[in-house]
Amino acid sequence: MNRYTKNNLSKEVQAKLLTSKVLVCGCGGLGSGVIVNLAGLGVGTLGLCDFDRVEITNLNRQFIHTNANIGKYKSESAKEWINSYNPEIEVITYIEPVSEKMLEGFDIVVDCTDNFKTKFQLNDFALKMSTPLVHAGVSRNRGQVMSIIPHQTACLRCILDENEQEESNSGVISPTVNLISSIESLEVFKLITNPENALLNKVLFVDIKEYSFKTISFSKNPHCIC
Amino acid sequence: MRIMVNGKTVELEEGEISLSEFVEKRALKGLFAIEKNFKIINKEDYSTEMLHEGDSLEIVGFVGGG
Repeated sequence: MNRYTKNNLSKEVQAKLLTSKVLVCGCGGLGSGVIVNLAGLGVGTLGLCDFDRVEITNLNRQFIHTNANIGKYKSESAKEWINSYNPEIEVITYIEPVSEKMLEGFDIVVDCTDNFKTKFQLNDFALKMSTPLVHAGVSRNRGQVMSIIPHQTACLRCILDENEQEESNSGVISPTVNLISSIESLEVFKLITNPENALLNKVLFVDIKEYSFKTISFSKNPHCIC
Repeated sequence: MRIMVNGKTVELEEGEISLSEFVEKRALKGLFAIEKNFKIINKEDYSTEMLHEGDSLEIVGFVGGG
């Protein structure tokens, strides 16, 4: 427990983190930051889902991956980092697209994927499996974060129409993606320890160009599938 | 007619228009949501939701990168 002394959390809260199981979908920009933060917090079991391989263009922002791991699967590369940081963390890797079954046994699923098609899929899997979901997206100078407790709070489909075309994702600098992944990690922390303070029925929109942090409230859409 | 859009004053020469006309004229695309006077407007209500002098809109866009 010495490792977590400076978290300054009660024994009960730290124990809760140590017994938590969190599935991180996507081990790229958002995922790298989330994995580091959750490992530091002391989350006991991390599921890592990604079937992409590490490329040199990832290394401007995905700091858990290194030059030596170019060409390796990102989930395996992320596991290597976790093992070197703290071998006591249990790691389960998935080198395949996320599926409904994958969520089984996890307390929370974190959306670190890089496109809305998968984000909507993950939203639907979380609803089916009643697994709380932390959603985030980031591109250029903007990002957003929200948490979803299935069947209780607004989901992604309550707010957005899947048929709308998403803006093209044209890259992001490391401070921006790390800011959004830190907020996403805080949401995981809050869902585990104090869910009433999480971004439920609301979305935090961040624009680093003007340092704008705007929280907009949404409610469950009565016509939504959730 | 003047309204506020994301904290800035915008002059609407057309006068009172619906939210769907506003979206069309400003060529808003992608995954976005609009809050009018601190209340989120459902997309299916855009055509009947009229904009009036002094209204305040917050337009927020969702991004999908990771």
